[in-house]
Amino acid sequence: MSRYLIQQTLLSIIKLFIFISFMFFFIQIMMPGDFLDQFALFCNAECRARMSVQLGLDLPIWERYFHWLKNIVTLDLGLSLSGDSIIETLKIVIPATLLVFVTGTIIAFLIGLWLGKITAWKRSGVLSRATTLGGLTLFTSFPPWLTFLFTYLFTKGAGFAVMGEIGSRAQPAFLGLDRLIWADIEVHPSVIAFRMIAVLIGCALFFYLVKNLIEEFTKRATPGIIYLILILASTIGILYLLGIEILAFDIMRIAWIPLVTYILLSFGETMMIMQASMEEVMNSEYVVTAKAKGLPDSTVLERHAARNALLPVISRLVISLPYLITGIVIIESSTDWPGMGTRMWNALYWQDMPLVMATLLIVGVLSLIARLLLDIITAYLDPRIRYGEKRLPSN
Amino acid sequence: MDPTNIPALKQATELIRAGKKHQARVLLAKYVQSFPDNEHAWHIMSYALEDREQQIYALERVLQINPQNTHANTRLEKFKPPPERKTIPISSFESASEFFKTPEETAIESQTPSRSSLAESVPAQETQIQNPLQTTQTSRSGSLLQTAAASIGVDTSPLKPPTQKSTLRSTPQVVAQPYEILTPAKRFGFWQRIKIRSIISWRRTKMNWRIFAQSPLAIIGLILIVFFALMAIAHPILIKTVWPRGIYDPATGFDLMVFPNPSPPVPGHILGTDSLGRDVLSMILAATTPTFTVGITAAISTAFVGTLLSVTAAYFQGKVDMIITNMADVFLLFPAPIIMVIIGARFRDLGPVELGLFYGIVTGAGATTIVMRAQAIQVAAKPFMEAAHIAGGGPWHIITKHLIPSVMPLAALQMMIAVTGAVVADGFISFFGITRTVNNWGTIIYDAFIYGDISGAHGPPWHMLIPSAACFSLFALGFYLVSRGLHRVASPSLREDY
Repeated sequence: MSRYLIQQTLLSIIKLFIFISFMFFFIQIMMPGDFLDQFALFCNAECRARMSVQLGLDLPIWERYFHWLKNIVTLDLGLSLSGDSIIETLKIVIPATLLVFVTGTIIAFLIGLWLGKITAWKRSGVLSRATTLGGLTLFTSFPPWLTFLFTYLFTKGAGFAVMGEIGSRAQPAFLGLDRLIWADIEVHPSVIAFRMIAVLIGCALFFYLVKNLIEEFTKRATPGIIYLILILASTIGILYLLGIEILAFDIMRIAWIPLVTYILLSFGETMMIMQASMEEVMNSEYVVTAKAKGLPDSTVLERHAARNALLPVISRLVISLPYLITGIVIIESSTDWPGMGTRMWNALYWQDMPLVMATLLIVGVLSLIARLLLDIITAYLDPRIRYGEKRLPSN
Repeated sequence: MDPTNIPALKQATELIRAGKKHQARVLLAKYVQSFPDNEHAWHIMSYALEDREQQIYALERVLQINPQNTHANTRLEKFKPPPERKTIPISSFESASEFFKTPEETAIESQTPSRSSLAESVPAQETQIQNPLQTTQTSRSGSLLQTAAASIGVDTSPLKPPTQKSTLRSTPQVVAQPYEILTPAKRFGFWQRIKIRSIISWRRTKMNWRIFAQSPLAIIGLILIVFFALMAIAHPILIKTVWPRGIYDPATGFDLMVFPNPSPPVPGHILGTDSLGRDVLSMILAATTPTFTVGITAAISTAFVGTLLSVTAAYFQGKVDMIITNMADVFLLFPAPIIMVIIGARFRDLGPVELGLFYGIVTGAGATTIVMRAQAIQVAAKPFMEAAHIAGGGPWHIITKHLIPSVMPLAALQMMIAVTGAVVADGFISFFGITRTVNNWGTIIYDAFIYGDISGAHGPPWHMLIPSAACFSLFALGFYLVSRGLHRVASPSLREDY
C-alpha cells in the first residue's frame, strides 16, 4: 500500500515535469512575439538589443528553459510582466479558487451521488427521467449564460460586473465586498477565504470520522443530511469563535454565484456516472439475493447497491479532472471570481507568460494532488488494492 | 558405472548446473565420440542440449543402450509432441446431428461404402433392431442407429446381457481408418456474400435499434440532433430562396425598416435583430454548420487518436502500455481552451476544423485513451485473443480484426462526449472573441452582453440570449443523450431490463 503510494507520487512528479516542460516549449514556440514586442514599442534597435540582453531574451531557448526550471525547483517563480512577485499574486488567488472549487466539488459530488442513486433505484418513472434530463441540461448549458441568469434573477444590478470586460483589470479583486465592513481590516479577503476553507474541511473530516464510528457501533445507516447540517453549524460556530463571521458572511455573499454555478454545472456528470454504475450493480446477483431475502429496500439500496456502485464513480472522477481545470477557467472568468482561472485567462490575454506558466504549474500540482487523493480513496474502498494486488484499470 | 566417478562427466554436470551449457556440450561431444555406448554420457548430453530434436535423439540413444531407464523414458515422453488430433472440417458434415456423434460412430460410418448405400440400408437396420443381439456382434457392417444407441448407453434390447454392451464399449471392435475427406461446402460468390453480410448487419441494426429505442431520453437526443441538422441545411436554402441577402446575411445584413436596433421580434424577424441590425434567426441558423463541423471533427479525431493509442497499449502491454497510460495522464492536465487560444494566437485564421482537431487530439490522447484502454485490456485478456495468437495471427491481423471491433462501441460513445466538450469549449473561446470564428452562438451571447444594452431600461435582450443559449444547451444535450443510448447498446450487462 505505502509502496504503491510512493510509486504514484513519484510518477506524479514526473508527469508534472513533462507537463510543464511541454507547456513551456509550446508557449515559447507558439506564441507570436515576446516581451519586447509587447512593451518596448518606442524603443530603437539599440535599446531593444540592450533590453534583450538584460532580460536574457537573446539566450537560446534551452538555456532559458534550464534557468526557469532551476528557479522553479528553488521555488522562485519570478516576476510577472506587471512587475509583481508571482508568488504573492498566487497567494492571493489560490484561496479564492479553493474556496469555490473544493466546497463546490464536495457538494456537487454529494448531490450527484444522491440523485444518481435515487433515479437509478426508481428506474423508469417520470420524475426520475425529468431529474435526469434537468441535470443533463444544466451540465451541458453554457456557463457564461448560466452565470448571467443567476446574477440577473437574484441580484439584479447589485455588484454585477458586465461580462466581457475580462482583461481590463490587471489585478482582479473581490468586487462587491462591503467597503464599510472591510475598512478597518488589515488582512486580505483571500486570507479570510483560506481560513474559511480550512475550517470547513476540518469540520467535514471530523464529522466523517464521527459518522463512521457511529455506524461501526450501531450497524445502521444514519441519514447524511444530519451530518451536513452539523458540519455547516459547526463551521459557522468556529468562524464565530475566530471572530471572522461577518467577513466570512460578506465573502459568501459574493461567492455564492460562482459556487452555485459550479455546482449546477458539475453535479450532472456525477449523477450520470452514478446512474450507469448503479444500473450495472442492480443487475448483479447479490442485489437480487438481498431483495429475495426480504431485506427492506432502503437497506439493499444503501448497504448493497450504492456502496458497490461508488467505486467506479470515484475512479471515473479521475477522468473528469480536466473538466475541473477547464471549468476553473470557464466558470471563474464568467463570474469574474478573482481566482486562478480568471488570473490565468487575463494573463493569457496580456501575453503575461511567466504568470500563465506559474498558474499552469499550480493547477497541475493541485490536480495531481487531487488525483493522488482519489487514488488513496480508491485504495481505501477497494480491498483488492488495499491488500496489495495490482491496480485496477481506472474505469 | 557411476557417472560421478568419471571426471569428464562430473565436470560436464557442474558446467550444466552453472548454466554453461555450451562448454558442457563440447566436453560431452568429445567424450561420446570415444565412448559411444555410455548411457550416462548420453543422458547428461540431453540436459546440455537446447534443441528439442537433438534432445530427443540423445534420449533415444539412452534407451537404445538401456531400455529400462525410466527417467529417460518419462523425459522422452515429455519431449515427444502430443498425438495430433484429427479435425474434421465442419462443412463436411451434412447436418448438425452428425456433428454431435462420437468419433467411433463416425469411424464406423466412414466404413460404409458410400452415402447413398446408407439410405438403402435403412430397412435392413429396422430388421437388425428387431434382433439386436445379432447386430451387436456384427456391428462391423455399420448400422448407424444401433451403434449410436449403444454408444450412448441406451439399452435397445431387453434380451441383451449387460456384459455384452460393456465389452462393446470398452474394446471397440472397429479399427479407425483415415477419415473420409469430403468436398468442402461450395464457396459463396461475391454478391451472395454481400447479400448475407447486409442481411446480418440489417438484423443487428434492428436489434440494436430496439435496445436504443427503449430509452426515451435517447430518442429525444436523436430528435434534437436531427433538428439541428435540419437547421444547418435550412440556412443556405432560405438565403437562396426566401431571404434577400442584403437584409438577412448573418454577417452584414441590415434591415432599414427596423428601428431601433437591437429590436425585439417584429414581423419579418421572428427573433428580432441584434445591435448591428442583423437578423438573429439567420445568425443562429448560420452558426449551426460551423458548430457541427467543430463537433464532428473533434469526435472523429478523438476516436482516431484514442483507438490508436488504447489498442496499441492493450496489444503490446508492458512498457508500451505504461508509457501510453502515463502520457494520457499528462494529457489529462492540458486545458484544451487555453491550448486552442494559444494556437489561435499563432495562426490567425483558425477555422472550425482546426479548432475541432486540436480539441479532439488533446482529449483523445487523454481521457478517451484512459477509458478505452481499460476496455481494450479486458478484451486482450480474453481466451479468443489467445486463440488468435496461437492460430498465428500477426499484430496487424489481431489489432484490426479483433481488438478494434471490440472497442468500437466505446469509441462511438467517446465521440459523442467529445462533441459536447468541443462545442462548449469553442463557444467559450468565441464568447471572449479570441478566435476569428464569425458565426457562433457564443459570439451572439457575447454581443448581447457587450452591445445589447444589458442593464438598460428595457432589460437584457432576451430574444438574443435565450435562443442562442438554448441552442448550446440542446445541441450538447442531444449528443450526450445519444451517447447514453449507445452506452446501453454497447454494454450487454444493461440490456436485460431495458
